[in-house]
Amino acid sequence: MITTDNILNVKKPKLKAEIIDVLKNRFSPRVFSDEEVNKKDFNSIIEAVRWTPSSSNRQPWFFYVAKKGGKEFEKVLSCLNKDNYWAKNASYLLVGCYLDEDEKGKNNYGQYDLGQAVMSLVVQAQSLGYYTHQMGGFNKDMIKEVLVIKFPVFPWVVVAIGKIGDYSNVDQILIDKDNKERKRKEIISQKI
Amino acid sequence: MKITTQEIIKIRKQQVRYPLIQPIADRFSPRHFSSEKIPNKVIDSIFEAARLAPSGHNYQPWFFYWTRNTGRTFEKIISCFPQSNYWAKTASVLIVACYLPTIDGKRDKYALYDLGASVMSLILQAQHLGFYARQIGNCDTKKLKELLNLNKDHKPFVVVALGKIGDYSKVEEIYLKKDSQPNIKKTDITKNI
Repeated sequence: MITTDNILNVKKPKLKAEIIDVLKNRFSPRVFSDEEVNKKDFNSIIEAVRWTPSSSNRQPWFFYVAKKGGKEFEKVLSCLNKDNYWAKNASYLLVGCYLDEDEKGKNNYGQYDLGQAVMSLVVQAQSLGYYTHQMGGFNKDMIKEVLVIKFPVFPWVVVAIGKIGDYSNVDQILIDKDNKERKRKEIISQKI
Repeated sequence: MKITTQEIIKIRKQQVRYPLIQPIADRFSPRHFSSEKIPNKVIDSIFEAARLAPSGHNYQPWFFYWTRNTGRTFEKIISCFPQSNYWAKTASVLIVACYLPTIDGKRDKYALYDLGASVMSLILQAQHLGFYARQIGNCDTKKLKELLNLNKDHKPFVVVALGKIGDYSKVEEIYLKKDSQPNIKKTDITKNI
């Protein structure tokens, strides 16, 4: 039988250099517990987004916040690809959007800056003991319609947030997917 | 106007509404760096942080070229910046952050988004170790690619200037003016649904 501790162990990266604990411990689980994210922690998680750097300080991001049990949580779930069904157990689903345009005109850094903002959020969440799993696999047209999201706001990612769940009592398919090490390319930089 | 580095750090200190971890709370993007060398150990750590970032389908669509502020390569990169980024010459290290637009011949729609996550990881790791970063977006990427002879599959998107924060009592007036402004951030970035 696989336990949550087994999974945490498998996900420990083999490091080539020291990095901070939150980056070391982070991974994207498919099993979340019922435990809620407390309000204070959630506020810090969103605050981390606010202080993310962005091109010309345009801050081209916006988040729709669906809390489990809330009225739109099911709607957000219904837009996800089938294989993301595990997201139903997350405490929060955030619909991360980039702003393709603002009063300064077209913004070519929207997606990039949203990526930075979500990483800040993820790191802050991890430091408070919460795990996150980002999903690009959802029906973007459907979510726009369901949540009435209009140009220049583009839904780009759904972030599941919560405490990690108990792996000893979940579908085998989720265990098969998560019981794998965090594989990375060996070389991603070059001195020139 | 004369302002010390400590005063700049104080001005730029974020007016946080809720507690944040140290590297997020302390981070800002200065326009003035010290010439202090960044140890190799630090370089290894920041790229390790970038390497472990999450990405769509675990494609890891990023690659980084870097150079120290000695020699021709550094000058070449600087020559691709617009005039307003003249401050970058004080950086200790410049990193050309590239995205990989295709994977196995298919377009990766999340490449820019994922590069953002990877660079953010790198910057938070650097900040944790006491090194500041400022990103430059509007450089001449075509020229950059030619001058540096980059792999054709790597698209430069931003350059990250990195170093210890500089001595602001000796900075050019124009940068002092820009950096002694507090960071203004939006207050409403979420909607509960």
